[in-house]
Amino acid sequence: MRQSFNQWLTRLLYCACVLPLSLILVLTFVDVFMRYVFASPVSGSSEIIQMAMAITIFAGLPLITRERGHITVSLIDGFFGSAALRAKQTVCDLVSLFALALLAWRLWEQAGRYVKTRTETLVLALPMAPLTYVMFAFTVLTVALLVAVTCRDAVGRPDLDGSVA
Amino acid sequence: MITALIGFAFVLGLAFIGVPLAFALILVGAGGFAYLRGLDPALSMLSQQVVDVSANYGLSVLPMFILMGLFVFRAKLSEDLYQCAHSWLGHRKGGLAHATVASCAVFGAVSGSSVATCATMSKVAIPPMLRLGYSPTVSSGAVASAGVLAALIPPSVPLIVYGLLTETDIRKLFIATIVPGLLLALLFILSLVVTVAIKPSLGPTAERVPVRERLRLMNGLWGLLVLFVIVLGGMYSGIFTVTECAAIGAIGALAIALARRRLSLDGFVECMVDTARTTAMIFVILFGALTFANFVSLTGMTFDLVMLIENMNLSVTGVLIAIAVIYLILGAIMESMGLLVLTAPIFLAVVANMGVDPVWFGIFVVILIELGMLSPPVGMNVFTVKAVCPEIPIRAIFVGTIPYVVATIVLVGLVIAFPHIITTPLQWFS
Repeated sequence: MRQSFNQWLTRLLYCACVLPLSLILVLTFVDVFMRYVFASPVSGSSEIIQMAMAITIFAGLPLITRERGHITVSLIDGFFGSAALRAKQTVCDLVSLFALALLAWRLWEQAGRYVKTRTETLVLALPMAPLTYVMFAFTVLTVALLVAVTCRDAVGRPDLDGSVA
Repeated sequence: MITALIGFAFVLGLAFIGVPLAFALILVGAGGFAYLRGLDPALSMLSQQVVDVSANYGLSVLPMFILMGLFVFRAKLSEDLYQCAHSWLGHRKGGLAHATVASCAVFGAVSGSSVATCATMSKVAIPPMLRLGYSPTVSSGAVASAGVLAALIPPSVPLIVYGLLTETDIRKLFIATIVPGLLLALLFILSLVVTVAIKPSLGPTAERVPVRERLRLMNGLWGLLVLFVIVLGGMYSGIFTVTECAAIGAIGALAIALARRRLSLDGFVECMVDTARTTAMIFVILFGALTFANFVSLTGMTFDLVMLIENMNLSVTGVLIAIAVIYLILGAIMESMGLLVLTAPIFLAVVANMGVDPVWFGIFVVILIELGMLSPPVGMNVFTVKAVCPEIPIRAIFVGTIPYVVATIVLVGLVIAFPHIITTPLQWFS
């Protein structure tokens, strides 16, 4: 059950990465092509690309976070025993969780502000609020995954479920 | 200034216990901002920053260039490239090491990351060198060092990040870096020639390959050449914007990988997902760096630093040498991307005041950051080579990079003494 949920989640995140990136790739290319060959660029393409960029970044966030793939500069790991290392990792995870939760909250607030002010993009009049809610949702998912990873590593069970790490 | 320094101490403290740098920067940046201006402005600043940076057309240049590099990697062009370089240079003294430098330089023209180039070239270049009697030190050192060329020959991920961070024109950075990049490749070759002249046993020679065979090997590389010409030519001539070049490059690389029948659907998805991962990683760092930079600029640290330098009567050259030394020290102990985002905006603000060109400074900083990739104890390029070839001792790789480290330091000296190396090409493609 857990295995299949993980697989399902991974597939969803993969789609959320592949689709917007493919869109950026194709749209930029078509835009250039239309501009030079037919002298008529795709209007508003840059706004769609800008939305796709935001989705790509926030779809990548849960993936990188659950793999602990963020850039770190720690030099002191060598001085710790395994128990101390585990405690240190938990502290680091809690700090990361706090930062991510802060980010999620701010995105939620920002989305609310966009709803109120009806903020839209200039050319295509795409509303900014739904995009910001999507960014929020991915950040919440990231928080949830990091909670799972933190708990798993804090109690220090050996890696039961390879697909989480 | 004290406030900013306390902020730095917090960031480094959190980072050194192992908190991801991005999160340390976000928390300390927002916290410091709140301390100076109040909580509400700090929170609004944070959310606005994140949305503005994410939903940004110009920034799509980063994932597109990353994607191009991954597709080229999938196309397994690196092997053909190395064989070709091998056939042309292998019969010279130390020829295989020369071939390694040359193929890293060419691979660097499609890849923007020195670590990725090291990982790719280690697999194809080290085994033939070892077979021919090159010592593990010479062969691994050559790959670890020549990987640096990828970050200096456009496209370049660190230069894109510098451009995004300091709002410097990325096209200009890519134009300005070409001469130092090629110069560094030449200096690497030169240092090899000197090394082999001092100790000929270090550079065995391979058998001469007939010219007909060499040309046949070049045949497999025309796709790469076309890609190279379209992307860099289109960008330098101004026909395409940098963002467009990146997308065209990625499509071209995809076409090459498909034409060579090296890309399955799974492979395609993997390239995309890897790209999203790297993009997310770099952007979270950017959120943090920009939030932190907002805080630092509130503290007035830049102004204090400028005053301090004026009081010390330091010349521009003196300041640049001091900055180079700081990077050499920090580069040895810090991860390169973190070092770049943490320091470049502050140093730039200081030296821009003294009349230093931001484009010039970008190239200067990236050369120094890349030097850190080779410095013990945490040189990333060295560890990447070690990961691919675990049987080579880490010490041997570090020793192997010494001639190239010397060459890179010479390049740093050259760009300080002759800034025109960097700035003149900008006038050719204005």
